[in-house]
Amino acid sequence: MFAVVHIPQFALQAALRHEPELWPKPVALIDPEQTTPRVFEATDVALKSGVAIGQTATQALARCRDVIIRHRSLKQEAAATQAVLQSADSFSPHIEATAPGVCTLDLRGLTVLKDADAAKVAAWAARLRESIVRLNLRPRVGIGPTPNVARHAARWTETVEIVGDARAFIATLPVAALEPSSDVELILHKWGIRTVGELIALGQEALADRLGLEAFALFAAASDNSVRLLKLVRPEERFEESFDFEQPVETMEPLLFLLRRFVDQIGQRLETTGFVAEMVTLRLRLDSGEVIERRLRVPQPTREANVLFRMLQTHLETLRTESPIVMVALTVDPTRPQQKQFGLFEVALRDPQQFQETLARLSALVGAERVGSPVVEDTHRPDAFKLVPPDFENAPVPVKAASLLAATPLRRLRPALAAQVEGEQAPVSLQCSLANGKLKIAVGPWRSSGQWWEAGKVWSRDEWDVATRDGKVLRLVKRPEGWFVEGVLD
Amino acid sequence: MQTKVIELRQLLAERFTNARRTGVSSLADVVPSGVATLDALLDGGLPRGGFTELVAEGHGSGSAQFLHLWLQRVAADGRFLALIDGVDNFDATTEAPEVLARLLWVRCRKADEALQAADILLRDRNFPLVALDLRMNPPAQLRKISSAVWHRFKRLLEQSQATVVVVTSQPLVSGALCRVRVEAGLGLEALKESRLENRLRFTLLRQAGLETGAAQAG
Repeated sequence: MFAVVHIPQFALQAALRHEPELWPKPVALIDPEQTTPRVFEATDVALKSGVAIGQTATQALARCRDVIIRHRSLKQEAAATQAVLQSADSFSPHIEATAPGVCTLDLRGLTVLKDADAAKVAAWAARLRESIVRLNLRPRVGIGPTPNVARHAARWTETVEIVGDARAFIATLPVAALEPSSDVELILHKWGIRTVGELIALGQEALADRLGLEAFALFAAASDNSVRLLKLVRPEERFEESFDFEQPVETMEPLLFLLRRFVDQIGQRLETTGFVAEMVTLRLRLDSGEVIERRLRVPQPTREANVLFRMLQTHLETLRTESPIVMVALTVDPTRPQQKQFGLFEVALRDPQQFQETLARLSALVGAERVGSPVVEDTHRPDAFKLVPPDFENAPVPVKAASLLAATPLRRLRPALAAQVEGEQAPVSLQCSLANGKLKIAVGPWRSSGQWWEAGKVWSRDEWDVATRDGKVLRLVKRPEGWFVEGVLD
Repeated sequence: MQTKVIELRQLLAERFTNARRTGVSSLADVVPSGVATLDALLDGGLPRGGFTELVAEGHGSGSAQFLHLWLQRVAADGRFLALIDGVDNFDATTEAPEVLARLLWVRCRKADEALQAADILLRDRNFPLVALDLRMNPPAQLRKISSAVWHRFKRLLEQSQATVVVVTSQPLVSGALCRVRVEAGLGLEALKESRLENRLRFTLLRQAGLETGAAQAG
């Protein structure tokens, strides 16, 4: 037994997948790649309003002034194809991407359909259809003993068609179901042949004598017993949604509105395939041609649309673009969900997602380079460190609290405070915004230098620890460019 | 009867959120600070659900040393600390890598930036331990802080039960559960000492629910 998922007007359905509210409106789809773009698919409302396939956009607008012209998007069609394949893959491991908008499933060997109970098959087909409806598509599902019969069933139904008697079913189909050429269709019409049953009754040999080789193709298309080998495919483990705006977007609301739909869709697809999101990539193309790409790591991989959306929203709050946005794309790198057993006395983050949001907000406030966990750099240069994103869950626990300090900590002045220092051998008096006057005592110098092997990075310094007469203890440093106060003991 | 007692306790706890801290504090309500003398002064440690203000008025007061000692204790307990650095003067390079791995350091430039960072952090219930270091911020910046800010933070802390230590150069935080003065009189000789815990002297200036005292430790 085979099942076919057929998505009629696939290009239009793919284009309106993120705008389902447009279905009750007159919408015509044109292909911008053509020299003279013509309408090649349109909604029922548009067709009823006088828009016809093959018209130019101007002609369509002349017939129906409210018609909404949308451009065909191959990226959206590819995303819709992947979404359908991923969904189908969760129902059968043997699937074929037969044509754009057509997917064939081999149901042989599926335990759920083993006893071929009609009610079970019907329920299974309804579930298959429902899973694709959740992708904002309008599929038709056909089930039959051969791929060919299943495809006919899918094409000629509105929702779900399960074919029991293949021969009788094929016989009732109109001749147009076999997709004859227009000449042959006209001839058959003149002969009074309306259904496939009437065509088959003529006999293959007799028909071939009169219509030529096309008769064999028609009989092959009407076959109810030939089972061809499927060209099996595996759906990509890639989850991407994109949208080209008709008008450049200048505010965040339309962007967030669309991203919400993206994460809902991707969340559905992740759930279907059993994955969770590990990394989210947001790509924005600006009107100026610039492309902004941001990769956001999901701290605790999830498929929860709310969590993913909140992450994107927090990030977008910090984003300012030079020009309006014309395209948005969202890609999710999937991973398998992991189960973790926490230790009895482990102090873990209560809500890692919220923690990432907080980090993003703090980064927006003070700058990303000013938030994080410090890591001391591998150099002898004092106060050399960098900040890295915190990873508390994997941080080692110090064995002993005592005697961990490498030196007495100061309060560092960043940037260092320029100072005027007097004294031949050692600093005698100091003049800066922190202290002014003669020094009580000066200890030093401690000389250090480094990176003399790297041009532009060489450093050298003489450090003095000094005490002022009013009791301040300062770290005074002489560099090639002058004297500086780098720290205060407190 | 027992049910009514429980209900009464709940009612009192809701009405007087700080009341249970005024008497004998339980160990569950405090967090060890890493300095034994301060813990002894505060009946076991830094209180949860409110501010502890550490006033460091003089030179070499030891406030930076206290922050490092607290961070070490936090790390040794397997917990983590958020440090909001008022003017970016935390000396990170003196600490061990495993201690620094348990620190979230927010390097602010001004007091108002630090308060905004505190607002963000206190709303995140992932951080039960927060240090807000305003010790080196100019008095002009500190004077601009409205008391309404501390009141708002206090409400947040009552919900999150976080422990927040605010280090200031003068009494500043209205509504702090405890206000403690820290002094150490650190001079040049302190730079040779590896551990200055014993040099820190604490004076309890104020504790919510208690008379203004002059208890001293250290």
